[in-house]
Amino acid sequence: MKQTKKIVALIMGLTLFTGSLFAGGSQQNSGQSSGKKVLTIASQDPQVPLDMQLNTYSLISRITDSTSETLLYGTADGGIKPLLLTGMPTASADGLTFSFELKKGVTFHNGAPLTSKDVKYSYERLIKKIKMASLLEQVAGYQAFADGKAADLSGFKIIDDLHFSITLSETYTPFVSVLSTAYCAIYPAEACEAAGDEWGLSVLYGTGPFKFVRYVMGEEAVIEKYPAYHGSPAKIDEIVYKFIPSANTQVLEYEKGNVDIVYLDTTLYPTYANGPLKGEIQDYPRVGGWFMSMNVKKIADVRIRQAISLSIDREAICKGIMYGTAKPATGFIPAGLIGYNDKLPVLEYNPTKAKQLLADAGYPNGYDLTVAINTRYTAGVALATAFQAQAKASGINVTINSMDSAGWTDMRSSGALVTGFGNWYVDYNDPDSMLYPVKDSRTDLSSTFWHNAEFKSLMEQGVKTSDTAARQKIYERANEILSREEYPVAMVYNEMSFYLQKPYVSGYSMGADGRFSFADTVINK
Amino acid sequence: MAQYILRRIAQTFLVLIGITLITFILLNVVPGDPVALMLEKRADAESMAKVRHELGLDVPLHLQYFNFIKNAIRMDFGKSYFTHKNVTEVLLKSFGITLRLAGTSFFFAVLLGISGGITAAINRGKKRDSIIMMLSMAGISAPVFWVAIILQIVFGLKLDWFPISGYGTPISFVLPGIALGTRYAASIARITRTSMLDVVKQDYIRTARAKGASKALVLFKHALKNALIPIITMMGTQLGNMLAGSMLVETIFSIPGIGKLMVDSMGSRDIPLIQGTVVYIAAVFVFINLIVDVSYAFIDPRIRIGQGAK
Repeated sequence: MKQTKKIVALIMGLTLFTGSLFAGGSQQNSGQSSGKKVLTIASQDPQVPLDMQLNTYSLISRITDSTSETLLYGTADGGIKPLLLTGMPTASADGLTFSFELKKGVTFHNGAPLTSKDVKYSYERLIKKIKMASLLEQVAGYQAFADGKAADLSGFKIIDDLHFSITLSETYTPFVSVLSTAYCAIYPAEACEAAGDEWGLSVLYGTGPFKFVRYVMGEEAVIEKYPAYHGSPAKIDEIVYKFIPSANTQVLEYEKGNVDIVYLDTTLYPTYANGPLKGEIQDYPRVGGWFMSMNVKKIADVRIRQAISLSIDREAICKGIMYGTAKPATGFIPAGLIGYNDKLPVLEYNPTKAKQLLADAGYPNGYDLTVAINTRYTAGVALATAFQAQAKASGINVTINSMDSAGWTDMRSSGALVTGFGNWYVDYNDPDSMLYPVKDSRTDLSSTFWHNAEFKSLMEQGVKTSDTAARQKIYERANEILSREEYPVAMVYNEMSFYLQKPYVSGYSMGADGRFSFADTVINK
Repeated sequence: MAQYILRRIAQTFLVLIGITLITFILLNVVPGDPVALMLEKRADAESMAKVRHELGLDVPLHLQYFNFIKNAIRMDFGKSYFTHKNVTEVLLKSFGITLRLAGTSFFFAVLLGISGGITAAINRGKKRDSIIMMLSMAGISAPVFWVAIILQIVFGLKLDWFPISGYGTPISFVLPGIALGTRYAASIARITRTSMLDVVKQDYIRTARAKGASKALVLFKHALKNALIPIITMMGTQLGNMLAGSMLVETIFSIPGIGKLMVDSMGSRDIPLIQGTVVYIAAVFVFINLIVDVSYAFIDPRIRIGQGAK
């Protein structure tokens, strides 16, 4: 026994010796520095510039929400409040022109003052970067600017350094909410332009309570308290995002005390919910959920689409693969949004009815269906596997077509998808954001190809109506067409998200739009 | 010898060109458009055409390939589509990290494998031999991710001897080095034992013993030296594999090496990065094979490299 111990010690010692010979590069930050209040968060590596105008991953906004700010922000209860403005923007009588006044004395992390010019630059940049440009498509002059036919966005008028107005080409009620999304972050014009491709990699200035320190792909991103912040200064000195790709390793590092917050993968939830870390699991709702999209060109008969929806046992999925952390959907619009109808029952699971519908549609002996999934999301893989088993009862033979993100995006944009499981969460707290994937202008790009005159008209009315009660009726009807009449999508569930948080951390908040705030976070160690 | 090495280097270029051509063709055949991924929700035909033009992807395929080769000769693989970083710089950084992991792992595998193999061979049929062979079988069979997680839990979390993840300090490489090297150590132990058993039967070993040479001298000078050829061949392949990166070990231990870089770049169809990593991995294998071939001559003078290569 003694000899074995000696051998093991010798081998480990020699391996360590070799490690020392080969190692020597960069030193990783060990987390807590002496005297500093440092919050360490386990994170996946975004592997792209930290710029939400270029890449829309929530991984990025978890970091940049603390550094870059928007004119307005979404509150936890779904409201909108001014952040960089002295008050809410005022609308003209026709509801087309909004006037804004910036807070005085706000500075970017490079010391430059925030001016109207920076706001204009940021919105024009968002359009130039294409990806989320459509958020501003109602601004007058959008198309000409996007097509390169105009030098600037004509609907944006700079009055002076602190005042500006934005004119829309048509009424768009969610416009103010749109400006609260992370994509509409305000960057300093000159510094951002000068940084070029380095923006979000080695340079990033915002007006947030924390300023960018460094971003080393594969290692970490570090932000630190900005002393000249225009609001209440942050209560911690530094936030370190340690990039740990393995979900299991993230939790081990948490258990060891090297990280303070870990966003839990749903698949790990039951392991920790029943273990010693049970008391440290926190949850937050996400406005959105998982759904199956159906290509109406390939499944033209609505009875087949209804049969597919009827073959999904949502209750069993929520219980079996989501461990009770998700609610079976009643429609596409989830609770918390205008248009959600709390009187609707859970979408029905009825294999007998599904079978009958398939027989009526000319498939009495069963129906072959291909379901595509993006393997990047483990929840989608589990969902498709469960559906494959459940659909047998309705006579639907499911073939699962697994692919990586690139393959998935390619198939979706080329129209090759027959059905697929995907997820969607709102960018701003408005039904218009939830219904984005099924908008008339979107469905050809997401392989649904569904067009419905009444739905389209309701969507147009919805964004032009400001009265909440009237909007509720409009979107309730839109939800009904989508979820219970036409079935271009079959919503499955609306889930909760989870994270582990050390007991000595408090004051960490999340908005209804899923944006994170560490401004009031406290570490009591 | 010099002529042989030059000829092999020339062959290397042909191999690399062949590999890049195959990769290029495959990347244009498999589903997955980097532009669609880049634009996601906004992937309409007009926007895609605009970005495709910016990236030079609207140029005819043969010209794209020709441009790639022209630049690759100057070690310029372009910039990553997604990070805008210079591919050569990214590769060099990842290579440095992988080299440290591979070095630690290789050392562990060789140390444990050869000593285990020799011990098993000289104790053939005894309890020690059985235990070592049983352990080596377990080492070959155990999935690398399982070994990695067990090491993390036992030595990282419970005993707190080593870091659970990261790569900045020498000590960080111990657990990933062992996790990656276990399987290789087991293979080396098995081949060392087999090769040693073949050699110890030879007449010259009997002669050495009869002449009164010490046990250690017989073992290391006469037996091990002559048993080394198959061991070195295997070690060469294994070192190549290690230097090509190990996606699993790198992911579990949060080490941004070549293996993870390649898999990530494949996932996003980041063509310049994929091409760069493929060229790197191919070059590593060709170079290591060359070193292994050359080393034969030094280990066994009976091997005439110049003749053998004809």
